[in-house]
Amino acid sequence: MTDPIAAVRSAFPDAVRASAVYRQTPILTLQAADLLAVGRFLRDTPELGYDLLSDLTVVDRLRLPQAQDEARFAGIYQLRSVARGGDLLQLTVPLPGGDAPVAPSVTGLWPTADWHEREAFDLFGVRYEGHPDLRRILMPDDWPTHPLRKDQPLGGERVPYTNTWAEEEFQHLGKQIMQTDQRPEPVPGRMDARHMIVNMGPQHPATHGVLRLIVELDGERIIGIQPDIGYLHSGFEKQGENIRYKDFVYYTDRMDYVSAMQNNLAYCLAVEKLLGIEAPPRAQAIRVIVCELQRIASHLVWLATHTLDVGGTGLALLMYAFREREEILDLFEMVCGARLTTSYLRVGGVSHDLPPAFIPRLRDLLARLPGRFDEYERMLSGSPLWRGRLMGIGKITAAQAIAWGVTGPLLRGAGVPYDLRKAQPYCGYEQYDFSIPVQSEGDSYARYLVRMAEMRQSLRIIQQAVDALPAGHFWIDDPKIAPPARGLLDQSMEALIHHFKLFTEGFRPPPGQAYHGIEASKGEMGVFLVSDGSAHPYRCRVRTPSFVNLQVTELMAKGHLFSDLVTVIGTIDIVLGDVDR
Amino acid sequence: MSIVLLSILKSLALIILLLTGFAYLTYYERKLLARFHVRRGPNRAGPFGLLQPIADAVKAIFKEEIVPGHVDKLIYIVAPALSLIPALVIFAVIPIAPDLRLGGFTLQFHVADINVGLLYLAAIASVATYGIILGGWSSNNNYALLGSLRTAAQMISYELPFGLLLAAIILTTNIGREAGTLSLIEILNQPRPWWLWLWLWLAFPMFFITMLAESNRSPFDLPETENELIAGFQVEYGGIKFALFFMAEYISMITGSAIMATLFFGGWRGPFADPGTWYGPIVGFGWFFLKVVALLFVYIWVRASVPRIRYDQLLQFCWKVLTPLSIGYLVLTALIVVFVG
Amino acid sequence: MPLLFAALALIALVGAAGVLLSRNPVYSALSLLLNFVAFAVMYVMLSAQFLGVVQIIVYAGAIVVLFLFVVMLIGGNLPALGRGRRAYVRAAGVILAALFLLALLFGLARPLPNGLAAVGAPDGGSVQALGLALYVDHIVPFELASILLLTAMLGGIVLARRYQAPPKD
Repeated sequence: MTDPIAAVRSAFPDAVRASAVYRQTPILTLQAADLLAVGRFLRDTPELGYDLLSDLTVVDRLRLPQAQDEARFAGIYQLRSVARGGDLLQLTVPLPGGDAPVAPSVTGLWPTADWHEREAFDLFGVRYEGHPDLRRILMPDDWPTHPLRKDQPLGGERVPYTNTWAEEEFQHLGKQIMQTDQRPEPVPGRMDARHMIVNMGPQHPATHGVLRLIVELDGERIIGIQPDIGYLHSGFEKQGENIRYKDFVYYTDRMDYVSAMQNNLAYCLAVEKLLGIEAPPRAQAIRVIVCELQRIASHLVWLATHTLDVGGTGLALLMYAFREREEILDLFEMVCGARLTTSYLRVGGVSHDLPPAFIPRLRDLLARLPGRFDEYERMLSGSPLWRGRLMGIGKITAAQAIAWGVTGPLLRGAGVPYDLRKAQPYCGYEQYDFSIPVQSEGDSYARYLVRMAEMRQSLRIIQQAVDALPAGHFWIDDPKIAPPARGLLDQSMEALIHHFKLFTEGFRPPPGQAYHGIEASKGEMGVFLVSDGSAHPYRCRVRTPSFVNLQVTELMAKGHLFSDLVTVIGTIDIVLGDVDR
Repeated sequence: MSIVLLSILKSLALIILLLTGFAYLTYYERKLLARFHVRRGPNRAGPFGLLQPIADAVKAIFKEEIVPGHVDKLIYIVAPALSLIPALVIFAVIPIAPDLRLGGFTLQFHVADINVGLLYLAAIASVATYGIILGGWSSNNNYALLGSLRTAAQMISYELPFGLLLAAIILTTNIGREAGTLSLIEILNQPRPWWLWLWLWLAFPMFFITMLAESNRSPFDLPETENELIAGFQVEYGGIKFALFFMAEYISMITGSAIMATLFFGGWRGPFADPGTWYGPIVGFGWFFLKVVALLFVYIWVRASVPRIRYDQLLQFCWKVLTPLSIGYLVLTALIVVFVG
Repeated sequence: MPLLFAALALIALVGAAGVLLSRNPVYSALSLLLNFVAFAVMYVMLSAQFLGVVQIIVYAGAIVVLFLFVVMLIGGNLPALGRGRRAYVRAAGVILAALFLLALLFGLARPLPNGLAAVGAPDGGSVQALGLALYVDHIVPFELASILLLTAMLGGIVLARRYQAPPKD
């Protein structure tokens, strides 16, 4: 394995300002002017092959005491090499321009940077030179500030909406015959007004939430799609930077709200990496069990909604898949009392041990689920209509998928056996025997097969984890991080003090930065944290799979029929909470 | 003049029967779909939810009537009626029970015995498209327009196999007699040899598919496709106007089932349905009703188990599979008629 | 009966006038439909039930639907229709209309030829009578006409294909 730091240092002796390895992750600090050249070198050198841009974000170092250089903003690039098993490399690029930072756009190297850079422009005001379409993406177009800058306070900002009820736009409300005059919306750029422009969403049954797509049609054939997101933007990252580490776990539930456990896990692992701790073995195994259950539940929701999209509301499979998901949610309710927003995982472990009735009930479910999956496959795989609707629709090649940063079942459906559980094992996934389902066609049907097979693999993992469930603590035995057991509070003064300190001050990770990505059900879910030594994260960045995967909608749907657009959105499997955060 | 009066009375009775049938067909569908879905279905209004259709009707009637400002008002208002009328009128030629003879008086259980009854079916089915096409066009909405364009293409295409299969059935009426007939009542009164029944049932799946497409039922419900076109041609409709479209769809399901029951399964014929007796009409209607309900079950069963087909696949299937098959069936039927009959 | 006939004739005329006078092509097509349906009812009244039903199947069920289809594809609102026409187009229209009127008058002035007498006979519009007329008495012209239509259809397909880029992948 080649050392990327040494390779870059020898090839570009002047470009590297600093280099370090922090918690096994090599970090290179580069000059902005050399970013494109070094990036091309990193991507195209065969023994390095950093072809997947996992994450791109910016840190505003206005109040960061540890900043080594004068530039206020620094671009952070998380690169992975798919061929070399998801090896991570972080590039830190101090951006010139002071309060109006400028950076070279890397969209030419990694097309996936498109939306990432738009987001960084939107939230930090970084101007990317060479970006094809640098507009705001999450905030409203007329928003006056860049909210993630450190000089922007949380709360109390003036909301710049200008609409009032007196405006003409609202005059038709409450009238029976609406005499609206026809004012067609301006056609977005790149689109030809002679074609039919259909506005799909933000209120549309097939967009799985408040996604808006502006679709350009020639007859029923799709010529172009322009996604418009941000309707559900809730500012989780800003929120995360203003509360203590342990309190952000509850927010992560609300991002991809059909796989809350995995969101918890990504965040907890990132904090643990920052702290340099590891959860006890029992906690690891419990995490694996609940996360794999969550993967099945998430795939079941996908299957249900996908059949709903493709097959119509009458199709019975919708309710079948939800019936099984209910049973999984019942299990979640047993372990933590909540079904959807579980917040079960904690930094250093999980919040409760498994109740005694959990294991028998889980075993019962494990025995029944394979038969149910067979039933689904009989109903769908055997149906020529289902195959006709999915085969050949939304094709994406392996190279395109990697270039666009697409991960999860979409990437595996395109023939790339890339799964972070195998590539960069966490939580002891290396102990379990499972395979990565791969299909080479890259169409919607391949992704359907991949997800169906993944559910069976998850069952295998759960079975092994339950069989070999270690005894011991379910939370790390460190009173600075995990609260002491309830019984101790009545006996030990020290325990009481620890409890008090933990809940009033929280824990303080050492200064540093850590990115951790896990294989969530929809793809790579990553959390990047910067610590300044206080009890709050200095920078809290969440890389969500839906946001990145949604970018390929146009690529996948172009040239297909309008009906196929619904299939394509369904097959990407997005959750709008995960897209907008 | 009494003939005219009788016809009017019969028509009124038929309309009432069909509207009640529509109301309880929605209940039947919701209950059945719920069973397929492992749910319970409507069970709040009245015992077993039996009053649910009435509650729905009351709701639809008393809903606020909204006419959006951007529609073509005249056509927008006329279109729902245009789609309902053909669905109702088509029933006029279908005999629902054997004749009742009381003394010298004969009561026939069909509104009209037209000597071109089968062609009448084709004619009315062909104008049933107008309501949907015009409803979609007048809404002045892209989704509605796409929906009505799909309807136009779909219905014109499926009329072809429909007509060809009807022609084959007409041909079989020649067997064993001098001249064939186009009248549904006469077709029903002709005895068929057993091998002819089998031969006709061979065409039943094809005919059923064309009926699904003609009544825009799943998996051919492309004009409304709630997932892509939201509700297609009816997206701008609400209240009673929407209910009229809804009625048209369900009544055309009933008429479709009635046509199939009459052509393929002997209509009101069955044990004890003897014409001329006092109990014949009651038993006969019972048989007819059972056959229609059984066919409606198939409609709903298909909806619960088959994914929707795509628009271009639908047309390809029609032109490349169904039409050649029905032409082949027609030719074979003609050969049978010539050599056997 | 004459009253009903008069009413139908009036409806047919209104429909025909509507075709010409409507600015909106969809209304024109609908007026045409009204005209066709009125004619179909007249056929039925003349006990030519078959003709009436076929009138509906072919004209109302297929041709006007296709008109509407095309109008919708092009875009229902064509404000330019009827405006900005050149003078020679108007002149040609007037001349053609006059010629058509002449032909019509000429045809109506002569007594009906004997071959069509069967149509006027009782039950002459029935399926049997029409079938005999088409497939026995006039089989050659009938087949010739169908060959002509087939040729036209093939020609249409050939013309449409020429402008279509091969989309095969």
